[in-house]
Amino acid sequence: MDTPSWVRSVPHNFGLAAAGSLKADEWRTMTTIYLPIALISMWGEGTIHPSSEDASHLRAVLDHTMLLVCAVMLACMRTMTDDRMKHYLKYITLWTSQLRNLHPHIEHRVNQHMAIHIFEFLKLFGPVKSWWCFPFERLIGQLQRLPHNHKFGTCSLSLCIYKCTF
Amino acid sequence: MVNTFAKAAKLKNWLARPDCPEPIRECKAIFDNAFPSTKTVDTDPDDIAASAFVSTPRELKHLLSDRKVALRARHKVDNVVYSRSSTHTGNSLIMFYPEGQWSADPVPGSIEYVIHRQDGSIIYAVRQQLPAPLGIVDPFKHYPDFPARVYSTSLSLNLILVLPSWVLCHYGRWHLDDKRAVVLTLSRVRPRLATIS
Repeated sequence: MDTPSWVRSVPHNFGLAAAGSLKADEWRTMTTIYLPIALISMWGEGTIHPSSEDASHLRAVLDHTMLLVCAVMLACMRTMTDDRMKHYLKYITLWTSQLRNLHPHIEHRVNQHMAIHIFEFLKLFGPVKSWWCFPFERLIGQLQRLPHNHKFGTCSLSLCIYKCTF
Repeated sequence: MVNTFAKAAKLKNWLARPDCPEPIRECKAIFDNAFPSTKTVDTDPDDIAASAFVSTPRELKHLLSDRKVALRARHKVDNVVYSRSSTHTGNSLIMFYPEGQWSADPVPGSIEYVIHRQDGSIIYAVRQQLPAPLGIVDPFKHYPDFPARVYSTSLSLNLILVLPSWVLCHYGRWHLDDKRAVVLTLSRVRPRLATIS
């Protein structure tokens, strides 16, 4: 797939144990770009399947997954409107309510409940970019990569210099 | 560690403020010399040597009246890099408003040339992604909030000129088969596309 250089790559062996677990930003790229295009091209309108039952089941799973994809797409917008918030709430509640119809073995989790509350946060605080945790994750990453000698409290000057030159 | 990090961030912020006292600014100059920044500094992209200007390529002559132009590999706008397709295919894929008409729907195209004119302005020569052939099924039209649509895999033979200000965003492209390519608009501002009937 041709993508601009600012789109981060994702593991080419996604799904295998060797790929490891994805980070939050990789999940976002996977969910908003690669996964929907792959699923729609395999299971969407015009695709061929061994039986009509398979076709209708896969289409139902696809439509259900696309509810979540569209919810994520809208939630990650840099500008937020009433219309987008309402559509986000519609998608995420439909996805949550239909989850066990299509996947009866999956238990509901707290995250799904929290995802519904994002609607209120969008109303209160605006686009997620201004309050999501990626800046803190980046800061943690910077601190973790910082070379130190495990003697805390004695490296203030070098840390100061590092921060001011970074 | 976090406390020191926060203190250093405050110091850095204070040094960058216009009301920072002059003696402290002088100290900053010494500090910068002693501990140079690790960030790379971009060279001025508008600094084009006179020798870079060459005769306008034949396929641009009917579009541009300029006798000489400089052809560049890339152009940076608000920290987003747009390239010609021979340099980086992904960075050359742009959604743009034809003729700068903001009320129209943006269309996809691939930058063939990034042209630096002698008056200092930049303009792109773009090949448009052709619409999907009639009768082709678009499985993406059912999801209006997922901004992907099916187009032809071919690009137009004709070039059109596009100003950088007419560009909305990049797009991602994947060839479904020999005839169909998926075009995914990567704008984080305007996602909803009209449903194609």
